[in-house]
Amino acid sequence: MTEHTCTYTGDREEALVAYLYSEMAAAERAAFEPHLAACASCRAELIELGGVQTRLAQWSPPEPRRALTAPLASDVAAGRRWQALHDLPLWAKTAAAVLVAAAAVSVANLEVRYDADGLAVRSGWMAPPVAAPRASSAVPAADANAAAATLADTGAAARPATVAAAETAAIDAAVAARVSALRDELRQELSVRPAAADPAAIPAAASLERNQAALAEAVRQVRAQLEETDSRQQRELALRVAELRRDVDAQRQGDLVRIERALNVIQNQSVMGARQQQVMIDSLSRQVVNSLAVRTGQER
Amino acid sequence: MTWTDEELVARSIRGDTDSFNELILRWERPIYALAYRTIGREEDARDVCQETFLRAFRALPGFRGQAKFSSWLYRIALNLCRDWMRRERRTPTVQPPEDVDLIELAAASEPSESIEELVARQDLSRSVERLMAKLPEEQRTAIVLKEYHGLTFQEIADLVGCPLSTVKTRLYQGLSVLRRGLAGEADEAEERRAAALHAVRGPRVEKI
Repeated sequence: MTEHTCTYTGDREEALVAYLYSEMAAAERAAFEPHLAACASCRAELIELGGVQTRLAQWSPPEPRRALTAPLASDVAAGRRWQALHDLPLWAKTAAAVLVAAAAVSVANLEVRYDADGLAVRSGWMAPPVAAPRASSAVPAADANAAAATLADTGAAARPATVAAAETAAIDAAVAARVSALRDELRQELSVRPAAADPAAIPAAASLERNQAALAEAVRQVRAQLEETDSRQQRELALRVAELRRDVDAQRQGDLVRIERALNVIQNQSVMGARQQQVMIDSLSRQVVNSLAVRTGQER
Repeated sequence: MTWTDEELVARSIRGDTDSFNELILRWERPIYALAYRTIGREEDARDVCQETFLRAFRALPGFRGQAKFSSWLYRIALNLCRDWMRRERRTPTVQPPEDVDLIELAAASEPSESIEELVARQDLSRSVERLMAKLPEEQRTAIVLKEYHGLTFQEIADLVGCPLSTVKTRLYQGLSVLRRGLAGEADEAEERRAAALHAVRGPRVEKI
């Protein structure tokens, strides 16, 4: 070990450190450099300290296994944190984020499954059972229920979300009114037929076609209603999905954090027809699952 | 378009969450690295990192730009680290080397590096980590801020709240302890190698 016998008159330790890090005032340097030229001990110690710096440079913290921070959303500002998400592995975190978004936009049921085949995320309607119109006994019960259910689920599941409640309520009211009117028309259409004593009576072919045509028209009208009021939100959401698509295609883990943040934006996009939301969430889920499947395949 | 920290702060104060998320993206790695090197545990460093940004977000309206945003953030992180260490009442621990995770090993290696080189590199890194963990907290903090975050002496002094010359003294003492420790480990390693060689070769046979 090197011995340090030195005759420097100033504070030797501070001078060495200041010189080591090149943070010496000009005057001090002018005093120290001549000493350095003459003092083997100081030179040797500087070299050794430099060696320590080289060793220090080799020490990096381990790569964090999970995202470092959860996205900042309005619920964070309100003081709550996404505590439950922190302890999940990444894929479950993403699935949970999708679930949170789906719940917030009132899309019925995202089903998340994980098994040996990996992650599967599906959205499915659980349309509330619809009472068949009383007078419809002439129409096969299955058709009437299915048709009515189709009609019901475009409007019934569109509940107002938290943001822009007034706007949402207005649109929902308009949609609900439209759906209600269509249901009335449907009921009227069905009640025109002679009520048969036998519920299994087969209706006239013409009536059935007319019925189905009326239903198709009704669904089309509801959809048009939703589209015309939601085009702006759709464009915004399409933009978000495009951004997400870019993120999903990227390789770094940090991108999944950005996905959460963008999904959080979807959460706040409340003024949206329920079916449009379903379509968007479906598409997004598929993209996320595909990205995760790709990444999992690479990591294995 | 890259905003400065100060611009992002201004926008965040006005309610733009995206801007604050951008600040998080920018600074979460350095804050995590600072926390990890100070307290030595990955999960707790993550928690400190998270909590740092949470507090920063809440305290943002009171941040008037009197210091750099990063300095302000570092101070929050260091205070949290200090609180953590006081609470846990322990010196930083070193992650025990678990069974080698081939995936992580492969991820950490340079393209042209052999496995032997990589393992050797990790050994060296672990010995530095061990020695740093043994340093007194203020020496370790000074070294971490200087070596890994490039703060000036004055910035460290302001951050930690001590005189300028004290910063230099702590750096010198900390580096010197590390120097002696590393030299000692090198000697020990050399002795172990020599002993292993001797065990393999056996005692030298005298030629008659």
